[in-house]
Amino acid sequence: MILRLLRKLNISYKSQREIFGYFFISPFILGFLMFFLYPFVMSIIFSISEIELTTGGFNLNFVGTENYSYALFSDPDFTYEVVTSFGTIAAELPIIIIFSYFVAVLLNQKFKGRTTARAIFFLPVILSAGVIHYMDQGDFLQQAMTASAQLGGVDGILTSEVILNLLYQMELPDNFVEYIITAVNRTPEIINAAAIPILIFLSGLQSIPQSLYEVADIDGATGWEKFWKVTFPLLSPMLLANVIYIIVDSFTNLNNEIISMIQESLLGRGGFGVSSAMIWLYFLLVIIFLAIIIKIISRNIIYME
Amino acid sequence: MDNFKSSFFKIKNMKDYLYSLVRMILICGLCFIILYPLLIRIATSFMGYEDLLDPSVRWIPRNFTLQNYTIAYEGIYYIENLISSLTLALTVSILSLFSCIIVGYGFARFEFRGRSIWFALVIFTFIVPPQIILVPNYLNFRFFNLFGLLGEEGFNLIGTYWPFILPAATASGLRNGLFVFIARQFFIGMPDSLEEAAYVDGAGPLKTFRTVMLPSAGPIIVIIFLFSFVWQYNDYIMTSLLTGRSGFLPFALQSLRGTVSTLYEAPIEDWVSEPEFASALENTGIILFLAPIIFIYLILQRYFIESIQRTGIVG
Repeated sequence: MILRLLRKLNISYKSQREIFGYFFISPFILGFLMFFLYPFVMSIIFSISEIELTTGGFNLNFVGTENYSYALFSDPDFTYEVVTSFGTIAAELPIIIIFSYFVAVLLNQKFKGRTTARAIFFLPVILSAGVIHYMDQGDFLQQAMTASAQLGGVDGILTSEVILNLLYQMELPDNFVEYIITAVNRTPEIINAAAIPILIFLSGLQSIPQSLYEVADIDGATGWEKFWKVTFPLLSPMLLANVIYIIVDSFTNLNNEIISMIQESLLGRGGFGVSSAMIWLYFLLVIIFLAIIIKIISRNIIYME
Repeated sequence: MDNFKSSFFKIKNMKDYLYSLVRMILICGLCFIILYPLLIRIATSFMGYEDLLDPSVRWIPRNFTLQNYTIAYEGIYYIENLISSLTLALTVSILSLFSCIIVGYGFARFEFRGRSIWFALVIFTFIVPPQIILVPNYLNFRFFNLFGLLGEEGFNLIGTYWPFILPAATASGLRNGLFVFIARQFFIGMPDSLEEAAYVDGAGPLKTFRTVMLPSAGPIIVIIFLFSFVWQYNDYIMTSLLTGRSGFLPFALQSLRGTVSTLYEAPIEDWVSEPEFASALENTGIILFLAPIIFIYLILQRYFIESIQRTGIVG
């Protein structure tokens, strides 16, 4: 019907397509303006104001950069937590990427019970409920589990003295050994964070045509060469997607100390103004961090045509 | 020569066998780490009061009981809260599903001015942490007046389903940017000839979308529905801010201890003050909370994983 009307009005095919394009994305335009752009701009305004809740609404008093300087210089935890969280993600990013690639390769092979294994590996996506996170913080069972692990001297999974001594005696740099130990101890967190990256890598592996490997086989390529010359270049778009996903996820995650700190200060310490300023500072740093990483990776990305 | 050949193959077989053994151990180990928190919760949920205080009981309950389940079931007003949680999640996921697929289709199949800018904005909504717009959005719904169109005072929508329905219906709900992206990638990959055939037959874009594209979008429908449903059901922050913190399972779970001590008389009332017992009750409550989504996942799981293989979520 709409089409007939447009034809009657003598509108060219190209313009018709334009109108329909806008018609299809119109829900997003509406939602974007009302539920994203408006709150987004408001949050900038909040971060430079003091907010008073009144009966019929709220009043804003302009205070300039006061909230920002409070977050940066007066708040006891903010700067410390920001630095820690960047350190954590920089350390964990390579581990999650390598781990999820490795698991994706495993799950891509044919073996008995593959469907079950895949289903279990994606389970963390399903089970990541916010309320469980909050309840675990005060939960006796969880505390008991960490306490019993701490009895061994080191907290976490890697408590075997033999392995620890072995690692230290290998005369590797101490920093490296500590890195490995922390990584192993954080295995559950890493597995949970890797669920969606595994999915993305898996779908990437599926999309590589088998014929390329056959060609490589005929040319006598080894497994190592096949990985670097075929798999890795063709997976590079997924690598970029995963890096972005992991960074965004870790910065918006509930386990993130800053996010929970900002939520606390929303209701307590500084109020809306300071918490908006904090989250803006944090968000800008994240964007810069992302931009640098995307720039480095996308230089080496190869898209299959 | 023959002898050599057969022993060579034996070694190769051995190698393969060893490899699959190592692979199996590795996969089982990793699966165990993932399932561990769930398993330990299930194990404690069947333990009686004596077992919980006895440190020698681990994993296998000595006094098997369903008592924790009956208490937790009463304590979180399970049926009532479950229905409201499921209704909310279902409403949001169905609306998001429709809006995101329509928008994704628009981005994939039509050329229009400003398309790349709008699409960049879709990606941007996904990257911005929801916490940035959380408070302004709360105030937006608390004094909802559509930029002054609905009068100065506005409506208080907090505590209703509207703060969830409106964004979901306009493709800007929880992580909807990701869903639009997935839908767009899927429709871009569809062959042009399908659409052209429909156009030649005289169907307009709307009819083509409904009769040709939508029926073949099965895989992404499962993915978007499942993700959207699960994320809404599990969400805590948005729901707690926009609903006034009552009438949904997560909040009932949080106040479980208090509810049980007022609902029940001694000895259960006294037992709740023991951290071991209270923790077991809460973990039982968590299992009850997770049961529906685990159930849905088990049904859709086979189809879900196949879909991901066929669509190739990214790229």
